[in-house]
Amino acid sequence: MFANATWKSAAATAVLLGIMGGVQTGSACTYPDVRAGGIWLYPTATHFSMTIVNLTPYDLTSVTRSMTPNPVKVYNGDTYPYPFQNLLDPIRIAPYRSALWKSGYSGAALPQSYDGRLRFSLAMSTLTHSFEVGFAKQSGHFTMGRDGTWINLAQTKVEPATNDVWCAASTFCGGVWSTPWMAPVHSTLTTWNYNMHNLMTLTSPEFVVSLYSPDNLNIVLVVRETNNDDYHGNLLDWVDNGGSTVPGDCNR
Amino acid sequence: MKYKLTCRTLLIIPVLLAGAASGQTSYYPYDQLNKPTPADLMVYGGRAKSVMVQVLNLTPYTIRFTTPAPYNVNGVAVSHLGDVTNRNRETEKSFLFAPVGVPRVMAPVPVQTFPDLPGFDANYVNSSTRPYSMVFAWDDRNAFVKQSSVFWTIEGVRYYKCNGCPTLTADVPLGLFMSRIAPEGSLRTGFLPVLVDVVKEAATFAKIAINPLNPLSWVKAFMGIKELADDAAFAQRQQQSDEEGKMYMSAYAIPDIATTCYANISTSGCVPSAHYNDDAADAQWGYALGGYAAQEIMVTTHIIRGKRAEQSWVENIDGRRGSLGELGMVMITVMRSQDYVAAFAAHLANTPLARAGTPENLRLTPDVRANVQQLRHLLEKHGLSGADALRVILGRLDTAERQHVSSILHTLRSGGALTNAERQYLHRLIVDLRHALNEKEEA
Repeated sequence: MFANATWKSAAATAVLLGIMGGVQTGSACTYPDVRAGGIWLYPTATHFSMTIVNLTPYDLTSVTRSMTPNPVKVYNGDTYPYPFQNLLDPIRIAPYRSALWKSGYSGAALPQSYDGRLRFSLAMSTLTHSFEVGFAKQSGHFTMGRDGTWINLAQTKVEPATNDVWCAASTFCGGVWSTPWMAPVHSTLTTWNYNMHNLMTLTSPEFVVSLYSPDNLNIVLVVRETNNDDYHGNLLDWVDNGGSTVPGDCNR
Repeated sequence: MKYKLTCRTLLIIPVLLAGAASGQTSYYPYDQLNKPTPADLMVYGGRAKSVMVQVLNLTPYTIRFTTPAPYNVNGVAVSHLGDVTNRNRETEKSFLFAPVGVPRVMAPVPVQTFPDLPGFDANYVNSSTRPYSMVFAWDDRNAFVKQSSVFWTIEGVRYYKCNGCPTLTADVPLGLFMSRIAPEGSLRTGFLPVLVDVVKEAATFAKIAINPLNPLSWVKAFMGIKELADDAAFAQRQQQSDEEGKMYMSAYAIPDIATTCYANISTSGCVPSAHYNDDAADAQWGYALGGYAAQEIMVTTHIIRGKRAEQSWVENIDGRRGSLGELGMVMITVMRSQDYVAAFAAHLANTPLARAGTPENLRLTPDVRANVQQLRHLLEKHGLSGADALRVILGRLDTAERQHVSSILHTLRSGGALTNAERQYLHRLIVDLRHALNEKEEA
């Protein structure tokens, strides 16, 4: 039922694409876009957190440590190379519970940026689903005084099944709107979405994943089981970033 | 059983008009001083500016999402859920959003579990009822969003105006109110374990399998079984503040639009009553305020407060990095009033209050003690059928009488003394239950 785009979703897709396209073509920008996209975070030394909310009856686990080419690294020139230590140790988030990781630093107001990916796995009754949160370090750019990070949501295949069951981007699926997604970080796929977001949503027939930042300092990941429930989801595709903190001014 | 309050309701609330309560979506309870209602509980949004909410519908009614019309409270716009598609990053925005949506339809509990409704089946096993989960978050870049609300409609709530009057139905709005006003005062705890126990009883009434040794994952989470296993640690957690985002949250039915209470929201403090409001609350309208249908609905809320995360670079004495935190969780249960009162009675019957020799027990007069012990005996002996009989009896009362029973039960639980009239009332209730269960009076 979720795979078939309805007239409503098709119409909304057109609206969504129209909005995005209109902004991109209609805005003047001084600096060219960088090859990146997703949610732009510009963390300060002590204000960065990642919250993971599991709204399913299954354990949600992170499996980052076994990933290649590298787990999430921090670039701040100090001796603490892995501020994600708590998340790098495989963690299990119990059903209907959450975990909040908070960055910190020993007082110096140095920038923090991240590179790598976290893979999350949801072991449902018959299949294990996975998805990734990618971190792409963005070097100091143009008028920016320091580095930041692009964070995005990326689909992966359902394991062990081979068929991709993710709903199409920009469709109403699983009770929410699926937003344009990123190809997996470091993937050779070319389906990059270069747009800046404040919220990204992946949907499948079984569950919905939403990654958002309310303030470009903190990031939240929510996973909800669909369970054939009838949900109301609004079309959420906004950008609300401070103008002085973005890398270039074309990524809107 | 006939109680003397039979038609008093009609005399006390002549301003109430019959009929459905629908389209009431501009209710917001806060006055100019942002005073909380008795149902408001403190929780933190924290750095995530987000709260997790679960709603468990234990009524025989469908609960459906409602999109309200925009409205202001004292000149401040109340934020509702809506589409947000402005992709101009230089336009600063402020709004409430639900990243993974909100339930559009919350299914009713199957009618087979309600002993007073046609289709009741004592052997029914309910494997479909569970809570609906969602997250609410805010973008505050333009201006801090103080007031937000989300509405659903409880469809076709049954009510009647007096004993013997015909049964009517009406839609009753259900509101969730989030007031991010950084309230002062310390975090309190206490009622949650009691309320969770009552909700467990109500879930048992709904024929949901509550296996204490191997609970369903949602039961375990919704009832906070793991957290409540350590009383001291839980109390400490509930009173621990987070660093930012302190706010009020409350949920309750909304009064009939025809009531004088509703007509004077901004000046009269038209708010529901609640017995407690520390980390849990049971919110209901008095029969003179809410109207006939709204007062049939009990909405309980309990909060498992979030945990502040330690900074990751801090190493504890054992060399481990700082511990992870947790988001605040708000659990809402919607019940019929009669089921809540029966569940509270079942809880009371199972607490040490009724056991001989306890300090609480010693404060009871002999007749009250005997009645409470009798209640416990009947519910233990007859199990769920005993509770079902009590639900039927309570369903026959008009709402004023039912709230009278509720008041008696709460007084008993808090160790207070009953008046002579209340003692007689309690005795009549036990006599009726005994008759319903074909039990002879004990010596």
